[in-house]
Amino acid sequence: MYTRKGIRILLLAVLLFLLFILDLLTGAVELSIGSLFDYLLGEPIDQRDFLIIHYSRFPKAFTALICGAALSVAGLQMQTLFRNPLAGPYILGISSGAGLGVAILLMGAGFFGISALYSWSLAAAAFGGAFVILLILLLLSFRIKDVMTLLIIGIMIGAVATAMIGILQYFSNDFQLKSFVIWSLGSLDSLSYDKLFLMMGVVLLACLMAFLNSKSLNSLLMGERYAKSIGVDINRIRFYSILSTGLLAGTVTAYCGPIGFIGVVVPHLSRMIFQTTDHSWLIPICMISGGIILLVADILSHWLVEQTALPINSITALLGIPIIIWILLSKKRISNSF
Amino acid sequence: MLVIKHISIRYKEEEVVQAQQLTLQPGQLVALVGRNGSGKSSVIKGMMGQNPFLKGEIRIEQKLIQDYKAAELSGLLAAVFTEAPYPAIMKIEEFVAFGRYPFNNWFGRLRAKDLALIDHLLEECQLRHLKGKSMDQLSDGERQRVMIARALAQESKVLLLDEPSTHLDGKNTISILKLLRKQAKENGKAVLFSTHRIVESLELADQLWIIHRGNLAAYTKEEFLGDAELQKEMLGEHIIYQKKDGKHGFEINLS
Repeated sequence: MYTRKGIRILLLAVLLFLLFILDLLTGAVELSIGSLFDYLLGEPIDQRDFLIIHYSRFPKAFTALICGAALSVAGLQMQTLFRNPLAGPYILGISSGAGLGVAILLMGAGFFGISALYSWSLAAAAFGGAFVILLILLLLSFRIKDVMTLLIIGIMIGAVATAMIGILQYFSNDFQLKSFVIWSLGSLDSLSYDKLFLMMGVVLLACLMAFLNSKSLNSLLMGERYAKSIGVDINRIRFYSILSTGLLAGTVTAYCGPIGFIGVVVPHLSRMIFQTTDHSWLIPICMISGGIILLVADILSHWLVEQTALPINSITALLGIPIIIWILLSKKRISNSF
Repeated sequence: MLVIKHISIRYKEEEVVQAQQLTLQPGQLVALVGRNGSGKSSVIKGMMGQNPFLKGEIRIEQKLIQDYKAAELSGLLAAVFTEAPYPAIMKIEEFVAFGRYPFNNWFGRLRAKDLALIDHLLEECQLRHLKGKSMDQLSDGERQRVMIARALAQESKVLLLDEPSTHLDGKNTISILKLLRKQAKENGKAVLFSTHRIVESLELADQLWIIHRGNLAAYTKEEFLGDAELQKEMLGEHIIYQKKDGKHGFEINLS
């Protein structure tokens, strides 16, 4: 059993590596595989190639990897916690909160007299927005015993944030509106290495947090009463899952904009391919599969049009929604398949 | 041994159930009966330490249940609830393995003795031939047996079941009740289940705990059969207990 799963994980990891290389080679300017491997091995290469790989391709591919992993593990935890197959960072309103933070910054920047052009302020605004929503949910989760109620409140809070974004949009000028729309389309580009490492650190920490809670997450699959009856501290696992999800979704949304559907699709695909519901397997599997899907999305975004790239959020939606529909149609048992 | 003493369950000032003193002994099979809405589930929840509306004493082995740590309690008390979410693609032996969770390591890895116990329980619950099947491939009766096997995997002294026979046909109900009786008689567990099947329970259970007009009290079969008033309350006017040719039996009064 373990070895068969192990072999499949190894195959996935190989696929991830190949896609990573392919993604490095994909872009407006053509690169030779030779100079790419020289770069990876630390050999001296052509100055132009070095600049492209080091400052554009590598950060982008690495961002895709981290974002994919983060959103998938966030989605997995939300689906388990809320026992809902369509739960994800989106449904909890975390992404909308980040969006509101950014909207306030971009469209209200004039009022505050700060420039929205600094990217750190953009990230901080998104992060702040996501965490405000998260904090509200976290406080509510201690008082509200029913997860469905909590889920619906999450959706409502998200809707309030969206409504406020709408009002801000109505009162903003063309330039502000365009900046916001571009952020909301999502982007894996232009992350500096210090931000990249910060994001990687937070994501790895939050994934580790989820991994260490695998056993409690597994027990939630039986419902909270059973989980309690075998000694699981429900408030504790709720706290850690929501914190981990918030860190994952908040960080990624802050730096890359809202990237949809990865969080919903990848956990389902992982369960289906590996036929397991054990989180100590699913978390690493989701991390790898999430990276794979987002790398594929990024490669497609470059392949579909010449010279430029399509918005990543549109690609993940176009890629993700058919997969969701396919899963729904082919597996009737999706509603409680986890 | 589980002892209930002077308990009272109140919702919004209104008392639903109260009881003086009841004892659930090792090796005893007890049926908890009462009309719909009489508070059977509330009592079971209370015995699990999961009912904040319950006041009074519930002790296991002399210690109050609220004084046990959750993990400690899970080794003494196992439960099968009415609502039973289950992951569809999970294999039945994986589901039964949940019962070992309080006792195995951080990641829930199963040791050889855990696996041996799970195999033994699958055999005991007549599930061996279904090993490797996933939860959604089972019939209702088979799934209920998996739920019971999971609870048994906790190797607890007390087993509580909330309406284990709902959704089950007559044949499956009897087979579940016989399984519970075996757990009490052969493995010395203290088993309590709530049910609407009074007739079957009279035959198979050692005692009936009856919630009648907000009062929970224990009756033996003889005591129940000797109380015509209570019988009429619990069974309705259409089922009449009769003794024919020295045998007990129930008859439906069609008139």
